[in-house]
Amino acid sequence: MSENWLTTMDYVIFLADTNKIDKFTLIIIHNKLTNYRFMKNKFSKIVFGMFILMTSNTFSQSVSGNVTSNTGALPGVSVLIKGTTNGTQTDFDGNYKIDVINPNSILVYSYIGYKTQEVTVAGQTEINVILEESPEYLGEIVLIGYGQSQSKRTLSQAISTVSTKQIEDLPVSRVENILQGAVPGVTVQQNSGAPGSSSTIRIRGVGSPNSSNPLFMVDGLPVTTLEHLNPDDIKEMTVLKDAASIAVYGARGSNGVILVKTKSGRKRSKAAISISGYSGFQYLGNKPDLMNASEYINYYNRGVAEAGGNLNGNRGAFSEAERDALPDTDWYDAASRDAAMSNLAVSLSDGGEKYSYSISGGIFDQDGVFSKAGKSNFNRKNLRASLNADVRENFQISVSASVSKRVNSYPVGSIGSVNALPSIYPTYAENGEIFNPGRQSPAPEYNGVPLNVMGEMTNPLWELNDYQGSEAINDFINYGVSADWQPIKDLNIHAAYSKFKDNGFWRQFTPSLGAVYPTQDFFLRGSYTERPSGFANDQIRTTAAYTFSKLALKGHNLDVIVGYEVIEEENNFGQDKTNISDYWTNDFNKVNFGLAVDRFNTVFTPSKKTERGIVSYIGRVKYNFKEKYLATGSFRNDNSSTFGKNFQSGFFPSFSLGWVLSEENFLRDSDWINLLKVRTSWGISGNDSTGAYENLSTGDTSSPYGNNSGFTLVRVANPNLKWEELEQFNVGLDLTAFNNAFNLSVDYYSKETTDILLFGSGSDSSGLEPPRVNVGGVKNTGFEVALSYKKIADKFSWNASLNVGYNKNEVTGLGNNGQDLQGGFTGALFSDPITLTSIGEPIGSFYGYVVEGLDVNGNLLFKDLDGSGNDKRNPEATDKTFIGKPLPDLTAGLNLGASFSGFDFSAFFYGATGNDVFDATIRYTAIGSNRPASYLQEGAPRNMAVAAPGDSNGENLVSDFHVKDASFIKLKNVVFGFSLPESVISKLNAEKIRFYISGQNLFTLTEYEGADPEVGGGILSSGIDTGFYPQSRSYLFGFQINF
Amino acid sequence: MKNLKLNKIKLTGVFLILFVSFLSVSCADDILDKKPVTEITPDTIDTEDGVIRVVNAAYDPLQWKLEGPAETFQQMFQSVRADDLHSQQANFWGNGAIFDQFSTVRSTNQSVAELWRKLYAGIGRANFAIEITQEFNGFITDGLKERIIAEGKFLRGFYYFELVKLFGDVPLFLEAIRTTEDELFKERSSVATLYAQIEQDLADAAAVLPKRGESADVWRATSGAALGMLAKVQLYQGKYSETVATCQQVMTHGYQLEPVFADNFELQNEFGIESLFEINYIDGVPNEGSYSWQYMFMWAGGVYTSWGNMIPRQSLVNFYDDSDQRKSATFILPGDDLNSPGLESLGWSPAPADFAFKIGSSALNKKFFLTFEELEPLLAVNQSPKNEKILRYADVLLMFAEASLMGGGGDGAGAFQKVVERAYGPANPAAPAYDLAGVKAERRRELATEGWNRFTDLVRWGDIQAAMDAVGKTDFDINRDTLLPIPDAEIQLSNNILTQNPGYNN
Repeated sequence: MSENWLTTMDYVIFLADTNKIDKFTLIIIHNKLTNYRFMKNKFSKIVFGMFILMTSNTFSQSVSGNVTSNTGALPGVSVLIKGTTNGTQTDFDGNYKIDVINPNSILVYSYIGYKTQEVTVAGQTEINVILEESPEYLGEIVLIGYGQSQSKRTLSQAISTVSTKQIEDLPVSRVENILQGAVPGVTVQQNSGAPGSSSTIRIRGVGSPNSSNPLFMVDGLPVTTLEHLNPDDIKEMTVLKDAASIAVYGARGSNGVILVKTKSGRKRSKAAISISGYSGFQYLGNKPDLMNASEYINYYNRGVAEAGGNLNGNRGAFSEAERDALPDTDWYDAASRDAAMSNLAVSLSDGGEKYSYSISGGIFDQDGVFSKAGKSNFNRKNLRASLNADVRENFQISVSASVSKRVNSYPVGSIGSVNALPSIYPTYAENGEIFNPGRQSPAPEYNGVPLNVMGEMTNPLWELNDYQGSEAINDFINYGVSADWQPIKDLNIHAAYSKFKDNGFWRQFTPSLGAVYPTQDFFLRGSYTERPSGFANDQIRTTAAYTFSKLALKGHNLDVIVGYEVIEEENNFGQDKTNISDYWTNDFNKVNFGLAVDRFNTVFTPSKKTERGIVSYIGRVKYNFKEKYLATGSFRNDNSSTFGKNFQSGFFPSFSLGWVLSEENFLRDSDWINLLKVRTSWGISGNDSTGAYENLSTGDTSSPYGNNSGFTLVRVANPNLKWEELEQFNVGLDLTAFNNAFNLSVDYYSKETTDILLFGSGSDSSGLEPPRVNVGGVKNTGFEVALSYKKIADKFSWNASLNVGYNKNEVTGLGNNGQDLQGGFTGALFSDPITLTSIGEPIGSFYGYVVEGLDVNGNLLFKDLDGSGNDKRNPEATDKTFIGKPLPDLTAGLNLGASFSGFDFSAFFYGATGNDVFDATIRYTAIGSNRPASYLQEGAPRNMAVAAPGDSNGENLVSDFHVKDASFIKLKNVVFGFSLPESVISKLNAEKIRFYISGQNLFTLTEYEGADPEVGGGILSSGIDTGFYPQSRSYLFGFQINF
Repeated sequence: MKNLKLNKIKLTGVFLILFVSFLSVSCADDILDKKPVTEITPDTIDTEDGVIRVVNAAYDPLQWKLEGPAETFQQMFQSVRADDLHSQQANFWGNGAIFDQFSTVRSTNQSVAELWRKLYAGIGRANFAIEITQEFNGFITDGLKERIIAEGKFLRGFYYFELVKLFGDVPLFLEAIRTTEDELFKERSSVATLYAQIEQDLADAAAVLPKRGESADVWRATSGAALGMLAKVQLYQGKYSETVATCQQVMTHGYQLEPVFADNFELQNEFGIESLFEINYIDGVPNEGSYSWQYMFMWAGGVYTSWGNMIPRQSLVNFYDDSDQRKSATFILPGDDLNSPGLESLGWSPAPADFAFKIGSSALNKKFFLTFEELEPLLAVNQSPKNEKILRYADVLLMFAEASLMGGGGDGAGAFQKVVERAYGPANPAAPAYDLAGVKAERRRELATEGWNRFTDLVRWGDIQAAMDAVGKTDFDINRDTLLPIPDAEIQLSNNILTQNPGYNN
């Protein structure tokens, strides 16, 4: 079996590119070059040319060997015969072969980041070299996708990386968080502080009201999420930002691409075992300043006095005796607790002459600070293995597989009622039952003190702590196999198959509470729901890459890659099963449909399944002359099933140019400049991230009337649906100076999305959901600065890096008629939408009235902006204007690090300015709801504690009264570490033993008075604080041991 | 041996070539030609049953009360906005409270937008049903094609009538919109044009649809329903003799008043002898019930967890004489026996003698009431299976009485007498006389809280200003508030092909 298989691999097959399938050409190349056949097309001519080039080589003596470093084989090391332009590079496994004429030639081995070595041939035929890392390394190798990498020095695109070193020392729970503040132009916003909650990543602003999520590629495979990954498995992350770097990803790259490379073994390395972990606790850091019980009573009593006897059915003023009898509940304290968090990761990697492998696994567990233990928890277990092997000298295969299980328990309750319920309400009633402030008969009472009925505001502990349970279990499977073959020198042919699967299972249970707590009169009916779901994608990819190494000797570094790629996706939304009845258990962990009192009451909602396919052809050329003049060009043709037959194909080109000034004579000998480069790029990428079949008019079979099934059209079809396109221009400068200690990167970019795929230009008069159409445009312009300085010395080293991204977002077009998009619906809270997306404004801006002051009674007065002369308490729709925006102008990250004989320290600050929050945490619709403590001061709006139904003081309207400046600076992370000295660890046979303590979210400087100024949300509903799970403060103790 | 190996290599090579060419050529087509897996397209409708399902879906919007971000209870626009109901006992229901006053109703109001969407969804589905039926050639059942078209026209007529009553001029679509290449926006048609179309649709439907009792599907539109709606459309236009004639036609369809008024609203008596058309709600299928119970009742405990919205005004309660049997059938009043052991154990049967809401009234809507025992077995307590009456025979009799008084001819007094006698019993001095004031008063009492008539009746009678003054709605502006605003988003979307109603300022 295996022998057969190997012989078949003596062949490689790749596809040349053309747009039309009938012109496909298959090229077969025998590895001995004895038997090849070419078909007539341009590509085959290129390949033919390569062979001619190759076969013309004839030399007298050859030297071979391999180059390694302390971490394993080194690919891409330049091997040059000193004093000549003859040379080569090591291959993927660090092997090289070079022909020399003179036995006394000196070979020069150089590689960026390593000390250059020279070895005299002296008749040797095999020379193996171990390169030592240079502390002053100039640059790094940057992934650019499709298996290719490029030295940072010759990069003319805007690409940022987060290196192993940066990742290693950061105890983060999620892979995305590695990027926060680490890369200019990338904003990572945690949507919630709940354990395991996702983050929103935006690269260079929000390009579209649709998904603006970047494309995630893990080891070359597109995945929908990074949450299955263990941060400890990440080797490095690369962010492709400008069009020249993303256009090769065509239709899916328009929001930027994040390449994640996981750790793998290296050939000819020694076995390395690494164990790391941390453990710690978290607690609620910031709380908004709400009224305490006594303050609330003062406020209430003042309201009673002002009401002049008309209490509208509310109770009267509280007496001093009543004040003493009532509790002072801090709902934030009552609902939160200290929670544990721990992580353990183990990895093993090893490599021999012809193989390398790695195995790693980890367990991460985090409890949430809100709700009781077990109610809010995130647990991730993962296992990953990879193997690379040389089947032949010129043929390598690699297989990798990872499985990951994620269990996320989360409370269902809204944190909104934590803000809304006054402190005078107790958590638990005298008889130990959870207290129900909404009980209507008999009305709530505590310690003999009658309390007002608090209507919709439930006791938050009911949902958070006591009863409702919800759990999402996801099993991720990711595997791939790939082969690389070098039939001739400089040509690498790559074929890969990979698969990603996410099998989800979600369940939620609300037991019958009335049976447990009869006197508190809660909603009674139990409800249990289960929903499986699944996502899978398959990818087949073939590429052929050729490096013109002959030209390199003359200074022309040229390589090309062409490829073909097919991705198929299947999304299964799962069948929803719900049974609303009583259950024989109240325990979430035990419940199942068998325990329903009425088992046959289960309702099934049919599952929905969609499929999607993309067929792509790619090509890229990289060129530089003596690493001085740089250029790249790429193209991609994508064909997506998402669109109608005539609009499936899209063409996405890009170009970039760079000039390394420091290689020019006038700077070459500069004492202080190591690298100075200017670069520019232009390109087009696309987006097909719409729902499946949106070009069609599909029907809904689930619109019954009573027992009679019905069929109706769902939406207006749009047969002309096509790609959303993004055109981006970038210009940048890189400077490295002072012995490579100082680095500066500056980028200016301008990117405009056009033909945005939008819903909303269909009318309600059509009776259907609106079609998806290509309308609108969004422009993002901005600049990014990354600045770093490091001082490395034997005893004391330090480094600092600052990155700043400024972005201006502007909507440049909308709909056929430029109609605005509304967003930010809060249901009962505010009857008007909070955001409006309008031409000339940033996307999802807050839109409402402008408060000009208060009248004598404390009612908000709104500016009569349309000059219609209306009553200022009752503004008209035309008095609305733009009152704020959720997107920051500037985001910045600052890293400080230092080390001193075994001790290390690092701190990471993250901040943003120009971002507003719409504070919707207060339930203005509920009479008697709690208010911030500031309402006790002069100038607060009229007291509504005992207001009449329907009465309003203007707080209930969407206005700038609720818009708060949410600029902030956070100390996200501080780490103190200590590594045991060499003398100790060598006795223990270890490479490294380090212990550290770390604190996260230690402080936040902000004027925003809510729990957290970092408020996420959807693109059109971002920055609206309706009371959410704030990020916790945590302290961790951790260790790293490497053998 | 070497040859053999070479052959093997060649063979495998050929195999691989074939495999990859298969993969790339045949797959490329497959991969790019994805058809819906779990959805169907209109082409899929190829049976009679399929066509019937299309018209069934056109009934579906009748049920909608909360489909989007805001509620669209008929009572919000007809009863809360008029003088019959308060939006809530307290002040938690922001969307409803807006309709307690007029100045708070804005062109961006979500409930108004949802109402517009719901009515046009009904129209679009009716149009689609009519078209699909006309396109389909495979009918084998006699008369089915005509019947389905007639049902489609009835529903289209009904939905347009609701639009005209509440919005005035609206765009008239008589063809289903299917793709972006269709005309998506039209100018508003005049009320006269719309009424002509509505009359045509209802008359066409009445000519074809079966009479009450002739169809196994009691929930489907009948010719009686079509005529009854037509009568109301005529009455709204002041076509009194036509109204009388149409009502007289209805009277030949075998409808009768329920002897006991309250029986109209019993769960066991749906599609009863008095009912011309009603919204069909059921238990057992998710989202096929009504939110009305949960929105309207008091929170008593246990499963009885409701919110106390749409509370009768005390002035409405007081408008009934105690001898009027409709009083106890329309309201739950302090001390009323609710015949429910479950409610009894929660202290709500009899209703507490002292219950009084903050809003200043002591009543709840009985017509949508469920006992504890009726509620308990439901799939979801917010999904009441109780049907809601759209048109009752009593309404037809009162229309007849009114049109006759206004000079339409016929024996209006006899019709009026039937309604009055059932309510007050024979020879009750409390019963009003047969005059215009009496008919208007009886129309209010008979149909109160059902949600289809009060506000628009007041408007067509010219009584709206006085009625609003009487309940102290000082912000009522007769030049603006007799109609709802055209949803602002719709106007913007249409690029101002649509225009706004007066006074709504944009």
